[in-house]
Amino acid sequence: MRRALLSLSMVALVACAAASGIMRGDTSSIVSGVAESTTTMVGLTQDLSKCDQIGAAEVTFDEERTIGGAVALNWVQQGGGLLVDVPTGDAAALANPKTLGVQDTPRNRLHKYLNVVGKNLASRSTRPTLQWTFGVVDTEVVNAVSAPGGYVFVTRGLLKRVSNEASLAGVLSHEIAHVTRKDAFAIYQKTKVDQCKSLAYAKAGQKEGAAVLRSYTPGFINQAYAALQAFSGGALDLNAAANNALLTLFSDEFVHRYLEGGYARDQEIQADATGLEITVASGYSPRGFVDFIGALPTGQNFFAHHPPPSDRVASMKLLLGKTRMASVHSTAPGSPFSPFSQDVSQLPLLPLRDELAAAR
Amino acid sequence: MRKSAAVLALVLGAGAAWALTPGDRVFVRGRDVALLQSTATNAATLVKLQPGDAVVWRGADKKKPTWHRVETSGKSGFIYFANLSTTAPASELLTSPAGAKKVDAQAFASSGAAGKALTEGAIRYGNQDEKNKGELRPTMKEAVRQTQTLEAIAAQRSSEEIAAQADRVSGEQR
Repeated sequence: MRRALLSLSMVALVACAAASGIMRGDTSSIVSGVAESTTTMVGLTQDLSKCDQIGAAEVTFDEERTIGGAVALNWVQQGGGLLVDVPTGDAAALANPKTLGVQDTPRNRLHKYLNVVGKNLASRSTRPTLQWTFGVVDTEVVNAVSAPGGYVFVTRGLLKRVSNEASLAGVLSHEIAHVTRKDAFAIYQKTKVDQCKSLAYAKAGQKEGAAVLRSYTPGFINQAYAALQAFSGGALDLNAAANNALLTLFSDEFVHRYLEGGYARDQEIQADATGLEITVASGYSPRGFVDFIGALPTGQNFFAHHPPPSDRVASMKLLLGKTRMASVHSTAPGSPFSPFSQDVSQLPLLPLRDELAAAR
Repeated sequence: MRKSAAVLALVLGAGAAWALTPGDRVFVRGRDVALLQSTATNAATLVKLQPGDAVVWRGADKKKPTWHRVETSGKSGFIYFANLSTTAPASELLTSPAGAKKVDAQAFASSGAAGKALTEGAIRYGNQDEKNKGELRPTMKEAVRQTQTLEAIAAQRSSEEIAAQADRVSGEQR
């Protein structure tokens, strides 16, 4: 069942909820446990106002990286784990990425290759200095997914289908674009406010808090509420130990909503356009990505929640045609440095390197 | 198709024309981008530039218009057009004791925040007992260790490796 999770199915959500000990199925005793000191309506109004403040604050990089890390862990777990060989070492050693000794194994070499390809692409993006991290999750499902802060994952199933490096570059660039465009923030900001308000309602014994009451233990809700009470404005520090329950509340629901609905159609089409620009600016033929998307069957196991492949291919071909035409007529509507203004038919697809065999 | 056209207009900025004047500031995109002495493929590299470095644009070369003359730090040379951008890299919002503060990409890169791996908060999230009680494998704790290994592999990629990859892909354009 775990292999199906990155297919973004609702089945996956059930598994996710069941896997979490925080989740509660029995609601009979929750209300009494949580709402034993039911807040007044004045208190509720103040709490709801705090939730609006939390939602109105711009997401800082620190918050993005923390929520992104929590989301990335979900993608790794639900994707069946990463195709890496973990070194033996204590937590302190693992927490120092610059010095951690990594074994030279086929699976780790696969990731070295993937990160060299990905980091070269990301250096052409609008956020070139993020700590970009590219990984392969161990599922046959054909998909790619990103998390805020610079995490990009592709599936083993996807790597089986790419036939050249330009295709792989296109997929990675599409996900890089989601991160640089901060597409997750629209879902995340709303999630924060909704979850915060559900928490406040739950503590006030109101029916609008039922979802939180159903999903989390009273102890957990009390921890999250204490963190909300302590919030005094400004940036929310989700990295603080005292705010772990809030981080959990927000991350779990973000994952749930993303799996349920994905990004908006326009966000996906824009990510294709931005991704194609990064791909071409890096020197790859755009044909690799366009052909890869065009060859995808429609269905739950193939980029579920993305627009149909035919729509995506049509949009990308339109973009390539228009930018080329605009360039020929010297009325380029984009930047004079638009990578599309060269003869893209001359750009290479490039063969994949042998390291990719570890995923096949 | 109509939907696609509408999106395309959005992507392209609905006809926003760029009028670049010699002397304008433009930005490098790509790592270790070579500023070449001439447009010849075997030209000497004057300096290697990094993402977001600002250079002064002087115009496209008349014979090879895909190469643009730029100036930086007293040096004048040529850069392939796809390695330039009219827009600076995005700024980042960092938290500080004085509150949140926007910094440009270069200040961000040297702030230490840019090199952050899984944060303590994310590690705590993955390691909490309640997240490790189900039958899903790997466990969240294992996912933390795998992700930290992946981050080490990513962080240990040298600029030389990435520059070599860039050369492999774009060849003479650099």
